[in-house]
Amino acid sequence: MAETSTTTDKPVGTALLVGLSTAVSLGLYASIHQPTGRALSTIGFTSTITMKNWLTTTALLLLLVQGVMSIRAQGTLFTAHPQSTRQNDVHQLIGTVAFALTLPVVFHCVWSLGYQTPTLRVGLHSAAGCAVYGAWAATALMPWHDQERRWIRPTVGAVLAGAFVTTWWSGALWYFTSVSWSI
Amino acid sequence: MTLRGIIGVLRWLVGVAAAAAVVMLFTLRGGTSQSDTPDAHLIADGAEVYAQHCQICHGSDGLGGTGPALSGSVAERFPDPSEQKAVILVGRSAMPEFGTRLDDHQIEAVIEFTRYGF
Ligand code: HEC
Ligand code: HEM
Repeated sequence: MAETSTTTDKPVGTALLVGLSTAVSLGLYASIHQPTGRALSTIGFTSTITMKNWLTTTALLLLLVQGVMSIRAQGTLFTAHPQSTRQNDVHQLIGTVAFALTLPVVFHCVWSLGYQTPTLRVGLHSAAGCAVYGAWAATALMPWHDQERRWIRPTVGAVLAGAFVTTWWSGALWYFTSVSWSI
Repeated sequence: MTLRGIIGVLRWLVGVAAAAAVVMLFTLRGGTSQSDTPDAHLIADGAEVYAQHCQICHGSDGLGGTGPALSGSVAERFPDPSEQKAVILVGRSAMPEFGTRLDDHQIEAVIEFTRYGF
């Protein structure tokens, strides 16, 4: 995420700052917290891993729906200016549900496993997972319209999407393809 | 309720859930089982699974035979236990797949045994 100390627009600067500190504190806490190796609840799935895999995949599908809707309405992805408030509302609704789905997942990642870097895949996953939350915090707080810097919101959106896909690929997809698709 | 109203309530609920998750992250203790602390019960169960299913190829002391030595080396080869699990579940060349023959507990146990039990 870009440095914003020179920004004149307070809400945007604040949002980016909150996002950055969210990502950093999540990573720091995940590194220093002693991993518990335990599950709190698998909410009906057969294991924590399968719960995490499927919740993450569902959240990814919701984000894809957001993307498809945006392309259909505006012909572009990550535009700062949705054409209608209704579209804006639906976007927020879907985003909020997707965010909620990731909460039990990331809780178990951080509480149970922590920030790990034994392999490139797992290291990427830990870093991207932190970036997801940083970008998410920033988008949620950021105003839709920034007259001067129209690129900021789309950039944060793109970071969020990229980090999310990376997190999903290195966590869920890897497990699906190299271990099992079980539920 | 209008869509905006629903979103407002939802965002509020999700915000509370996120705050709760953060509080739990800081306060909940994980009990004794630690990923790097060997679990004696699991190791004992794993020893049985190993003797029954793995010993013929990997040797009674884990020093190898038809299959490579596991003793002392698996934890290094697979810093990430889930990658070791993947090999055991789906097999690899001459290593048979056990995903269909062992249940989850047996697999966790044999992993624990091969990492900490020899
Ligand atoms: C039929 C013989 C056979 C049996 C039975 C067998 N293995 Fe293997 N195993 C192998 C062979 C051969 C390899 C090497 C595979 C390769 O070359 O990729 C191997 C590889 C492995 C590896 C990867 C080692 C490494 O350093 O990459 C692990 C872990 C492993 N086996 C665990 C087990 C466990 C646990 C069991 C029992 C549940 C088991 N094996 C049963 C033959 C066997
Ligand atoms: C958007 C946030 C995140 C999502 C959706 C997510 C999702 C997943 C999924 C689906 C798995 C595979 C299931 C498993 O192996 O348990 C996983 C594993 C893992 N996650 Fe996350 N995760 C997120 C964030 C994080 C963060 C922030 C960290 C740590 C800083 C982290 C660390 C790990 C680790 C260490 C694993 C185990 C990887 C392995 O051994 O294969 N994750 N995650």
